[in-house]
Amino acid sequence: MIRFLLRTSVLMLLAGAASGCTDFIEPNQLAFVMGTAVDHADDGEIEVSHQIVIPTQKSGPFGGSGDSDSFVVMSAKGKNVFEAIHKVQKKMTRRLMPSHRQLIAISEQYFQKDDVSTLFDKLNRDPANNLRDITVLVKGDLAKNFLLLDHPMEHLSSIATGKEMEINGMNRFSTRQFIIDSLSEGTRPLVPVLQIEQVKVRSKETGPIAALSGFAALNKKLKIAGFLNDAEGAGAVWMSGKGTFHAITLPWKNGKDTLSFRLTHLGRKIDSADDHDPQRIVLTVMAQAYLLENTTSLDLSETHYMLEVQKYMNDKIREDLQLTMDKVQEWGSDVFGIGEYLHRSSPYWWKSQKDDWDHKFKALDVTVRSNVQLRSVGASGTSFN
Amino acid sequence: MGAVSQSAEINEAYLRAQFQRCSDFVLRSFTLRDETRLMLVYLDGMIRSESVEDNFLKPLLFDGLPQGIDRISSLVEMFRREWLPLTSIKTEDSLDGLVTCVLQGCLGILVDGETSALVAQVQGYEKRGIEEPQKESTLRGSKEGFVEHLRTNTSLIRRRIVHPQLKMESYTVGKYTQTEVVLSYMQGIADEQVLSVVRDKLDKIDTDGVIDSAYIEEWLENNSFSIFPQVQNTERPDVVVASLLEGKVALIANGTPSVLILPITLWSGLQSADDYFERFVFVLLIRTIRYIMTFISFALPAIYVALSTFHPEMIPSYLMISIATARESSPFPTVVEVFLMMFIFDGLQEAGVHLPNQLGPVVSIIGALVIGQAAVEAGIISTPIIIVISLTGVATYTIPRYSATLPFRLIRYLLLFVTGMLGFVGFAFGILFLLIHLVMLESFGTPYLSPVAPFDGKRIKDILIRYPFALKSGRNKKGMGR
Amino acid sequence: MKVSGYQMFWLISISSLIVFSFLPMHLAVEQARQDGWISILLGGMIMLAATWITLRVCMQNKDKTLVGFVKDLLGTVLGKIVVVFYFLLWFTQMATIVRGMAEFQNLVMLHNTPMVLILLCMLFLVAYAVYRGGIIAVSRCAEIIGPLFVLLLYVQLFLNPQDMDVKRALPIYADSGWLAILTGTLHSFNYMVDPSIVLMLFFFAENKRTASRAIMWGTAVAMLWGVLATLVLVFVTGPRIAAELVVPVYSLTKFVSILNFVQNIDAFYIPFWLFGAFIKLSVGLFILSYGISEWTGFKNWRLIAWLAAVACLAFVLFSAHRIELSNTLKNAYLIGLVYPALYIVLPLILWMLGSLRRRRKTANAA
Repeated sequence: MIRFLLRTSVLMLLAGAASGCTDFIEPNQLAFVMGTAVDHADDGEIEVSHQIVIPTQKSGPFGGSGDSDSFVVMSAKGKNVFEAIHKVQKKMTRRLMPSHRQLIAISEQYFQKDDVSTLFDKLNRDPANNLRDITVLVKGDLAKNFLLLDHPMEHLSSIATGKEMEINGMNRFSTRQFIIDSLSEGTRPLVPVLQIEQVKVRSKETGPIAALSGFAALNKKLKIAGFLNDAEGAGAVWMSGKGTFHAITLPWKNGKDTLSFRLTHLGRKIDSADDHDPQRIVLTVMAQAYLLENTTSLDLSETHYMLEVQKYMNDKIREDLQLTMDKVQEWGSDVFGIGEYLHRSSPYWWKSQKDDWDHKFKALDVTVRSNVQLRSVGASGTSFN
Repeated sequence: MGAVSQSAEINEAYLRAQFQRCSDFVLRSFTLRDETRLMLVYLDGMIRSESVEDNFLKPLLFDGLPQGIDRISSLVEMFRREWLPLTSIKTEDSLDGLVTCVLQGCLGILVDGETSALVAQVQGYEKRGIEEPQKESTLRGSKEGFVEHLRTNTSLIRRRIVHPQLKMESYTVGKYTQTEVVLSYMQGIADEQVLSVVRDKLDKIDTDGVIDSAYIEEWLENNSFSIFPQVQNTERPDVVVASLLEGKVALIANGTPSVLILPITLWSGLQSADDYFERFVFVLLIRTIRYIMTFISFALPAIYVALSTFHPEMIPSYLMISIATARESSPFPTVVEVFLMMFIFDGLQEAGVHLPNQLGPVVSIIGALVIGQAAVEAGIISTPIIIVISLTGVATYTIPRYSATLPFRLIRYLLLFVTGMLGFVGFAFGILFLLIHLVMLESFGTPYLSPVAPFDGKRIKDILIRYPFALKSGRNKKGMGR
Repeated sequence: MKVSGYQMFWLISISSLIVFSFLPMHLAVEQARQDGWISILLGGMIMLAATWITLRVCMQNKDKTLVGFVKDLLGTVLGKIVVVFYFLLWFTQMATIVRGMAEFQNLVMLHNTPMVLILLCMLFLVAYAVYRGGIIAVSRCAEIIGPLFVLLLYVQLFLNPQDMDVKRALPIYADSGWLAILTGTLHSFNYMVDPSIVLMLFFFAENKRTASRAIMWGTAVAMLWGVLATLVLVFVTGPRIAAELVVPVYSLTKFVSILNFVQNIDAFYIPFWLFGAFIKLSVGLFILSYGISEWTGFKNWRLIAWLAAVACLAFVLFSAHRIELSNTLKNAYLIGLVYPALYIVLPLILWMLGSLRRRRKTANAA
């Protein structure tokens, strides 16, 4: 008897569940959001645009050149992020799925006029978001236009940018890192900047492409403190410990020949110059250098030339980086994390400083040193010119 | 009817009445030289005629009695004095008993004027030769398999365990079939409690016919409703021998090559005899593959459904887009598609089992080309599902014992159903339900999941890896080998 | 029904880990920021001590369950009242866990499925397990689930090496001070381990010595995991974000990215949490029903198990509509008074009473 009851109850449970199963969603009812753009709109609203990939039947999604058929951009305006997204969903025939998102692009205007930190509440709270996408700043144009671009090699511009950053060794710029940096008191975020340029990729085609063109340093209120161009930005990235590899070209002493190096294993160390005065900092950058182009007349298989080149390289690097450091320091935006270092090494002194770190950072005396090792001079000795 | 009567006419009449309309019944009367009337009764086709003619009739009819005895006063007396050169012979006092013996292929000998009949075991009927069992072939090891004849089977075991502790108890079950079932065990190694339970159950079997050992299986099992078998069956003598040495009990039934082994655990079904014939490092790899494949065989369709419909964020982006592309035009929900394909696959498998040989290739062509390829190209079924189902099917075949694949095939459907409703959560619930069921299932006193739960540190080595023989210590009392 | 020491270990460690992974870390890190791990460590020590005391009590009363020996030590009336408190504790714990689980599922994975369904399924499974085999079934399940569960939880901690930055845990102590650390401990220690289930389970142990060692080890494993998890949490997300996350362990799984290929594995972890929750709920249901059957003298504890499960379902559905009942985690009354009383004070009293009795007995005998 009791077995019978048991079985009927199980069956009823299953039947009830079967009729109520509304939770699965077919892949062809999903819209995969690959990139999101946030723009400032009038009347205090923001505009959110999603770049959505369309799975095409014929070719695989990532083979072949860009089709105009492989994505759409849908956008809507709203008072906050959630409202805007909700409105986008209303326009969509499929459910938005942001879990595979590669990129969040925020326009410069948005940075200036709105508060970026409001974005993060939604990102953090809703468990459907993962914070693995990259946050970039779009300069000089609406972020939405960036999403609307085609790309000659990849199907979607957001995937293209994601891959571009990964290939070029800049994979520490995820949103999570951004949030951590913006919330901690001793660091300020460093955001990659994209600019839309006209590029001629084929003889008949000149089209706009968004390319990485430097970095922006933000201050405490997440407003832009200043822009660094490509070279300075790379240096700043190195000094803040976020870089993986780098390439530099140095003019030789006679002004016309050049030496080019590829730097790997980038690292940096922060120390106090003087134990009693926390305001004097030494930041040492480290790397391993491989000489890859040499148009000077030096025969670099000779040891003393190698030593000379190494010393020269270190000096030049130090000069360049010091310039960048001073520039950034003037803006008062500590993207290098020196504040965090001070937080750990002299926590009690830090407590008095941390509230107005943007100002106090300017008062620090930071010296840059360079400790780059020349590992190899390539496959030939003298240059062939 | 009762005892053998002294009158030959009465005996003959009774026997003829019993075997009315049996055209293979033979009753021959002989009159020996000294006027003793002899009646031989047997069933044609069941006895070894030459043996009877050479060893029995000839001496009696032609050559006379040994040692110059002139007159046979009593055949029974002759038997008692061991003058009949037949190896297996005994007396039978009741006519019904005589009938039963004759039905089993014995030769009945009735002498006019005596109240006992003689029954000689001279069975000689056609039987299959020893071949390799089809479903349990191994690369290395003995290729002998059981046959339908009970004595041959017991002899196959006897040849391998040469020790008086190997016992063979005989039981008869089945009202019309009178099947002889032999309970075989190693005295001193086998568990007495299991033995008494089995004996008890065998005595209680009350059925019309026992055609195969499977009929007995249901009587023996505690929980016939469970989808997991609690009794193992095999056609290989070496498997039976190894199990006996581990303390298990074997049941050999006449008329079938399937020998039952009990008690078993879940892990017995996942082990093959091959494991013990190859090097143990290799066996470690094979077993790992086998366990993973077993998991795939019941879980993969459900996992695929869960991942692609409930949790697409778990699949890496590019793979997800491929899957989405493939599924763009598909009209069915994934659950329904997977279910459909699984059903068709099982149907094909069933068809393949019963096919005559000539139609084999036809079915594979129909299955592969028509259903698979055409359905995909028409856009009805999407390709990832075909891949999933084929993998699942292949994975099922890695399970060595056919009877162990059956529960997994069932579980596949159940898990698919539950996962289709609730995603990974449903999958977890389904697995939990199974686990609870398995954990409490017992096969003759042995928990079904030993030695994993309840944990037995010494035995568990044999489950995961095949512990090298040289390092094994001690004898298993309640072992879980194959 | 006998439980071996090995099974006891898994039962205790799973029950502790499942609650540990859900609540205390958030509470501790909220107070103590990057020194949350110190709070957890202290809390763990306290709970280890509480477990030890509980074990002492159990060893003194080896052949009785909680209901039995409380009646012995405190007298029938007082004993019965005290036991009722324990029943309430276990009942509400069960309700909290099952509701937390269902709500979590609703939030994270199954948005449209009515919560009732998930609750029903879970409670059905739990009641079925207890009905079918009592503590034997549960402990065997725990043996199977245990290694996987614990292994996965530990492995999860190490799947994020590229994102871990050890320096985020610095500076130690300077930012928070002892007050914050102690507040963190105070808020979180109640939720770490549950020594009260030992009071009932010990009776079923086969070999008391190995069982007590197993229980201590189980608690230690859970505690170690807690400290490591808090550390990893701070390493990966830094103290600010860690304090805001409500279920930090879940968020940790979301960050995992192996070879940029295996990502978003939280959906894979959730079934394992379900398994762990299942074990804890089954243990809770079993001791509750067995205890009630002893308390009332009604022999059929299996039937009580079904009834208790239904009652739990009703309670959860009822309290889901009332926010005050559903957010009792930080209720100072509970944290400061009720939990320590049941976990620490009462066992202490029982231990002392037991020792006094023993001394009196030996004095009488001598």
